[in-house]
Amino acid sequence: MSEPRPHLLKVKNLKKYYAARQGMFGDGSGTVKAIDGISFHIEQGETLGLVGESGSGKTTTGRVILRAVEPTEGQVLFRLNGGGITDFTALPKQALRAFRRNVQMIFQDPYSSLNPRMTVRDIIAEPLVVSGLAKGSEIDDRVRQVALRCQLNIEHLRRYPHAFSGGQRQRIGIARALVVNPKFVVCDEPVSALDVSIQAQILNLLMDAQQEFGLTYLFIAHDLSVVEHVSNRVAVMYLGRIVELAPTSKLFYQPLHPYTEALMSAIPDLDPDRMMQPKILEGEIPSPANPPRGCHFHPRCAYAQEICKTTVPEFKEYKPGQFAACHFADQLQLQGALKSN
Amino acid sequence: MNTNSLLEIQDLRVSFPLDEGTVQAVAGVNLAIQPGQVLGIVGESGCGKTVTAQSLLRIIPPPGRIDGGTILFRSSKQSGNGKDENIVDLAKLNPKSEMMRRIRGNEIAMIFQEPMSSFSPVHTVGSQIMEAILLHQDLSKQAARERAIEYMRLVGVPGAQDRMDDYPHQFSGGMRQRAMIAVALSCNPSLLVADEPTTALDVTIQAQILDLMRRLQQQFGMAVLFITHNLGVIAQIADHVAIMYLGQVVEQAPVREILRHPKHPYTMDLLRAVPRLGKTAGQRLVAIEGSIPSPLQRPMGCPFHPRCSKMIPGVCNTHVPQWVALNEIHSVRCVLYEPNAPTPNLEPANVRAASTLA
Repeated sequence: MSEPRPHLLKVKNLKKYYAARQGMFGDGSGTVKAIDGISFHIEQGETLGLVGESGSGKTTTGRVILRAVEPTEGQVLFRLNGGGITDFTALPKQALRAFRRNVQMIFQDPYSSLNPRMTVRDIIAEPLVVSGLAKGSEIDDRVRQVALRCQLNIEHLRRYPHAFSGGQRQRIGIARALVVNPKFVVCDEPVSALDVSIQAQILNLLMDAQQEFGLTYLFIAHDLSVVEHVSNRVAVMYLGRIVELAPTSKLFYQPLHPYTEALMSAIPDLDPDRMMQPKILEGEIPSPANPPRGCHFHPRCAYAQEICKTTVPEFKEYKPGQFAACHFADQLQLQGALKSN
Repeated sequence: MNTNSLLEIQDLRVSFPLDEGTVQAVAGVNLAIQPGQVLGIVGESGCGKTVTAQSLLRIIPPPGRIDGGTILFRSSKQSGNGKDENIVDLAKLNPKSEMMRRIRGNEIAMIFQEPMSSFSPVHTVGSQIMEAILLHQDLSKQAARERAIEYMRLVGVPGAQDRMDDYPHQFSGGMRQRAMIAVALSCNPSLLVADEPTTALDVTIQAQILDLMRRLQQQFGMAVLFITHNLGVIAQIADHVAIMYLGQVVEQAPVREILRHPKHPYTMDLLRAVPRLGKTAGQRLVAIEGSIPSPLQRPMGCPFHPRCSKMIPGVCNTHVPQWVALNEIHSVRCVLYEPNAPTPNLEPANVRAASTLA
């Protein structure tokens, strides 16, 4: 374990509610709690993995942190280079635009995230132009430099994105994110649309870039093997709440939340002799528009007791650095995906 | 045809003539499936795994066409006077013929990645299962309904009786995939073709479906052709594995053999490129360089040579590797294993071509 590093990002009680129309003609109303009060921090230079299934709120979390969507409540605080604290959620428009160059995003689908009418050069240069960081020939120098770093062919800068394969497009997306020298990057499922042989190239590029530029990542993914590979710590979300947050190896060896255990048991292992013995979860993920009372996970939890149906468990630290929201986190002996021997 | 095989594909070729040129989607595939066996096909985009599956059922979308090869299938259905077995070449059948219609759905069934688009949105799930049963079996409507409910229960749809009258959009992704499996199994096929059946599902639901498929496969004793890009899923479900690259099977062997002793450079590199729990954390992965070539520009010689770490200039870029049986269970298509491999043809043109592609 390395020394604790200064925090770059702190998220406090973040909420994002959407008004939902229910009923066949939208005649009812309700609230979808996409994120329902989550708090965590990310250390400078680390990768925090964020995992969860459909509807868990992981993508919304990434978007709200970057204020691509405005939060309903809560704070996102940044402290860059050990300087002063910026309340990102409270920044007025002008200041927000100036601050934006520090925080960038890499998207899942390299097919829909690049403007088909712009050349690769213009796509990569756009954040530079918008932020006013560079002018004239500086722009082209910087674009060329970052394109090379992302292993793009300089000759291809004049082309349009449709001519590129998925892997190449993802490199363009990464170059665009890195061109403004950001401090923090949200990677939203950056490799899940890619073929295995290309996925490895992109993961290597992301990890190299992190080392080289001292980047801090929030790495959102549903593939647990990928998350284990890249993350220092991992947060597990279920229906808008974080149910467990721990250093990667602790989470994979000794999870504290039954949902984490179930997720781990469902990873198809590459070793055919380690037959998957999934803790088959009863039923399906409930709709976030109508989550169960108490602990959201209780209807599917093998260890649920009376208290789980009524009381929301507190999210607290049970072991050093290992947080969980479960009434029985300190009593259960759960199985991780990895076994120590 | 081997006396035991249920299905044998030999040198299958499928192409799609497009305006931009001809795409050789399947370029000489050899495969065999034994009765009751789960054969996994693994490959990346454009390797031809889906088109291979579509050719079995003769449902290749236009303008695709079978250019050559055979697909021998051991058809055996109960008829009036006992079991009636004969070998049919599916590649030669008319897709709309009586024979093909009888085999499709009845003897060979298929499930797809996205069950939403495989169901009609305007008919209830129950009526669509019943339709499949009534089409192939001589049952009354009432008996078919009972049969459908029985299969819905079998695949684990809770409240099967009530859910018969629901529409597909009222089912979640996992439940739709279960219903899809119910349709496929309802006629007791001897071969089930499953094309990425868990790819669109969440990991906990994927585990449920794999578990279900494993149980049903044993219960019904049917053979399964399981197509996926996920090596972990293959390790968990398949007995035998075929690895495909750009329209060809490059290696086939039992699952343990191929995962532990891969022979083809592509298989080796693919296994090294996947992050493994507890083994690769924080390290660089061994990536396969370059990208999958456009299907319109198939490389000469071995299609993998421009990305291969063991490429021999003057051989791999000119010579098409042969399908070599290393032993009874393990076959590979790579010049490194050819007993009479050609010597490098080091004419300057070949070497130059090789270096620019690499």
